[in-house]
Amino acid sequence: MHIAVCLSRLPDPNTVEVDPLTGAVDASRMLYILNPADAAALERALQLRAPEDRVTALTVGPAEADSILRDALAVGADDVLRVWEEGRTSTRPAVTALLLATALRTTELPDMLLCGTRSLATGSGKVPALIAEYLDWPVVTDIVDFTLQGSMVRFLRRLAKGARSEGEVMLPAVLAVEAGAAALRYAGLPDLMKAKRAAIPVQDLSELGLSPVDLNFPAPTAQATMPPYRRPREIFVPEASLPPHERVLQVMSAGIAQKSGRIVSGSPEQAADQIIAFLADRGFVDRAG
Amino acid sequence: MAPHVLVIAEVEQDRLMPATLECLAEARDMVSGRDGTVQVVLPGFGVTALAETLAEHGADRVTVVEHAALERFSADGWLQALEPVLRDVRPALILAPDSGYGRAWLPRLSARWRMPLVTNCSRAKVIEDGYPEAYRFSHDGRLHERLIWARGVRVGFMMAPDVRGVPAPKRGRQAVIEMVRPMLDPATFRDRTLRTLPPDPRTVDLVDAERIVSGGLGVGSADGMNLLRTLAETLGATLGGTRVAADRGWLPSDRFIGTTGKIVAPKLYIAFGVSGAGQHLAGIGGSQVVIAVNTDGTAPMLKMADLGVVGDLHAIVPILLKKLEALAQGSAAPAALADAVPERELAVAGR
Repeated sequence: MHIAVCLSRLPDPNTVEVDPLTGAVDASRMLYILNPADAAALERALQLRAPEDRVTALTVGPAEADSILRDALAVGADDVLRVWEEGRTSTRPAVTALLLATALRTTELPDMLLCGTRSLATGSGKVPALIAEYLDWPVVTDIVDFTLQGSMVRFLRRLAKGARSEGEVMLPAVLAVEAGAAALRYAGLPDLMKAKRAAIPVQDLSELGLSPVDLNFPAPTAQATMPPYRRPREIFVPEASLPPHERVLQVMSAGIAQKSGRIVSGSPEQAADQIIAFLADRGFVDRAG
Repeated sequence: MAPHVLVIAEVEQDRLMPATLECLAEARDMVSGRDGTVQVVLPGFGVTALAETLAEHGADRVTVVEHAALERFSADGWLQALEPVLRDVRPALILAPDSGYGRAWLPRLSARWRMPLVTNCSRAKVIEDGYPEAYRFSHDGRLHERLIWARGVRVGFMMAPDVRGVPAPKRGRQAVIEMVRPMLDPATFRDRTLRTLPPDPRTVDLVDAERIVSGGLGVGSADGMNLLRTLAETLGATLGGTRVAADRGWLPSDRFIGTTGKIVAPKLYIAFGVSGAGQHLAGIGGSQVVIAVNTDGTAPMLKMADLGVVGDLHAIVPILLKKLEALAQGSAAPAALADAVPERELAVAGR
């Protein structure tokens, strides 16, 4: 089986500093890392690889992005490929997806494509589904775990509010995994040294059979960045017209009305019985018998 | 221009996801004062009853897309069922929750239509007479981006959940409800969901927990907290506590409740050794049923409780555990969470 993994090199969010006045980002302070979700995807691919299987790591990016491909080689990827148009300064999700899908198509279509479900840079989370669209493959997002079952993949997907869902998808497919799905292994020193000298193949637009016009997608007419704004949380404030004593009492109660509940006391045995009777009464536990 | 805004609803376990209602509130704001309409597309099976809730939260028109194959999510199925519906509606703008489901099929639609699709939005609106505008988070929330499109461009917005909050519904508000029954062949769906697994009470975020057992300074030690952890597991509850307990290292710092911690709204809240300082009470206002156990009969926490017990938790909890285990052996596991108390009126609003 041939497994392809899409990787991206991006600034560590902890080093992204936004000027509070202008909203400008100081690029000189950024440190670059491999996207954690992509690292999890790479690890899952390496774990899945049988002796006759192949793992290819791909990225879209300038020459600096070679570093993450070298890291991928060092931990055990068999082949790597970088795709880039010289002179470009950035890519949008649609461009990234188109370049990756075209590169896979022109070199060799894998049996499975793994990628991170969301990057820590733009973080659109659209790239997996867009690649799937360009390859006409099925896609599954937000995967926390999966197993291979013949020509199917059984997956566990993260839902909102702590729930998960179980499902299956036919191969070939795009599987987008969460950062927590696996922790990338460490590379040995000899492998790192070897990867340091490896030649990284690069493909540009003409090799992919694309023209710059193909990379034009509808874009916003205006764009700006600013420090993050969070909706303020509403907290309780006491009524200003009340005398100080009342206000203090209100602050103490946090504005939450007192309940006219029952207060009981007695031996621990009786207390436990009271609690269980109350829980059963409200339907939280089943009554005995 | 009278904008026609379309919201794509998401249903999980026969319930509307709060994120859908957040999108609906955002859509309502977009059309207010412009004489526009808000239409909701509700895919699923046997979900027509939810149309009423959508109307109360601001939908003018609800299009139920019903098919047995849409009972559980499939990206292929959603695309096959909804692309024709959306094409007929020709909405000016599309809003959907930014969820794993949405990100599996909406980007594909956006590629087919060459429609800009903005994910992770904190805010979406229309400026003046038809310039779509979005604010979105990037770089893991470290940066906010503001995007504006040319007038009249159809844009899809995927709204980050839990940003806006769900406003209170308007009782009795009506909407036009229509049914679409697409022709679908589930055999052509390459991906499908088999079942949904409920959240694990041990790991779920306190904010989403349905039952909480919490401990305060009266717990006395990490061992005391472990006792409560056992009780929480027996009751199918999540363990939380006060800031004091977390500061002493008895609890992880994402597990404390109050002004500076989590604001919770469980169906059942049991407090052990919690005196009830205002800072803690401010975090539990949404709780439905409260039980408090404290040695001090004058503790404010007891006045907040439906059942207040004056006594020592170290003596009570072991007996309680024994009795609960005896009960569990005598009958089945704890009663199903959903049946415990009547459905709460979406108390997620002020979170």
